[in-house]
Amino acid sequence: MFRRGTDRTGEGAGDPAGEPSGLTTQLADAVIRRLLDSPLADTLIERVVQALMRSGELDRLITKVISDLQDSPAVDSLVDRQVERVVEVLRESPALQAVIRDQAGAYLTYLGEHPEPVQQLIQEQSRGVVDEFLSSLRQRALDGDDTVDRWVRRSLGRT
Amino acid sequence: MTPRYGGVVSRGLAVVVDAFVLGGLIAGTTWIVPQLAHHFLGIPIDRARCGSTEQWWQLRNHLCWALGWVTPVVALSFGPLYRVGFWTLSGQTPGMALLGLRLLRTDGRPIGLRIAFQRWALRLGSIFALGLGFLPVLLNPRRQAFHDRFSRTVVVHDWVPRRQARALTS
Repeated sequence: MFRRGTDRTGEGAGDPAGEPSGLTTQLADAVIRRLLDSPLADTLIERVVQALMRSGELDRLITKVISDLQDSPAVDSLVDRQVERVVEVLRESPALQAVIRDQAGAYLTYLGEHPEPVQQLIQEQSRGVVDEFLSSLRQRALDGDDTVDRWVRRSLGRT
Repeated sequence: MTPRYGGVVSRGLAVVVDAFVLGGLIAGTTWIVPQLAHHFLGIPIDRARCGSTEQWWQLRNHLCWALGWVTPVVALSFGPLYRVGFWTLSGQTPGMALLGLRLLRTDGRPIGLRIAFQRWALRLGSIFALGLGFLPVLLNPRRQAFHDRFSRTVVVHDWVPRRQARALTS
């Protein structure tokens, strides 16, 4: 989980030798390196991580960071630029076009061999349109019946 | 649940649709029969070209003249066949089916051949009385015409409104 033995003292090691601050840095580096190499560091780090995982703080922190990132115009702009770049690359990619052509061809062949789902879909759509029309026609006719009835009753002075 | 009886507008529209269907059937038949006779039997379509019928064995000439009667016979027989047939079989003609109407007995049972024929004959009476037989549809609480009343039938709306159907299925 953590890489050990990483040289974190690159800059400090470049200091002129013999200076007290350089010696201190080298000493600190050596101590830190030893500490990181020891099993104690692993245990310590794991404990810290477990404690963080158990506490709600980490969740809250991650949620806040994600929500901040979601609302961030800078991130939006970055994502937009990246997406545009990727789309542009994909659009001009002959390999992708070949894949799409192949897939479209395969799909059309499949549809040609198994037209039932498409036919069913079209039938359902047509049936839906016809049902809609019939319902509307019948409802209007029914309303017309009632309107004529009311008109006749009014004309004859009936209630 | 109180049945929704078919009124003037619904029934009128159904009659119009049926008139179109019947007209199409009659026109189709009166055109198709002479064409088939011409194609398969060599009978001329133009009756002026029918041969002599003086000899009884000249069947083709007899048929040629008989075909002249096809139109009125078809026109007269299709009407009752269409209405009585559909009423008996399903309680609705195609026009009534389109408008969601169904013909039932007053007790809610489906009608049979006898009542269908009786209603058709009484309906002719309503038509020949200058359509006055249809007037009671406007006045009767069950929207029964003269022929409905005397054949003890009613025309009801036999379809579920969209809102109600949605409520039933949800």
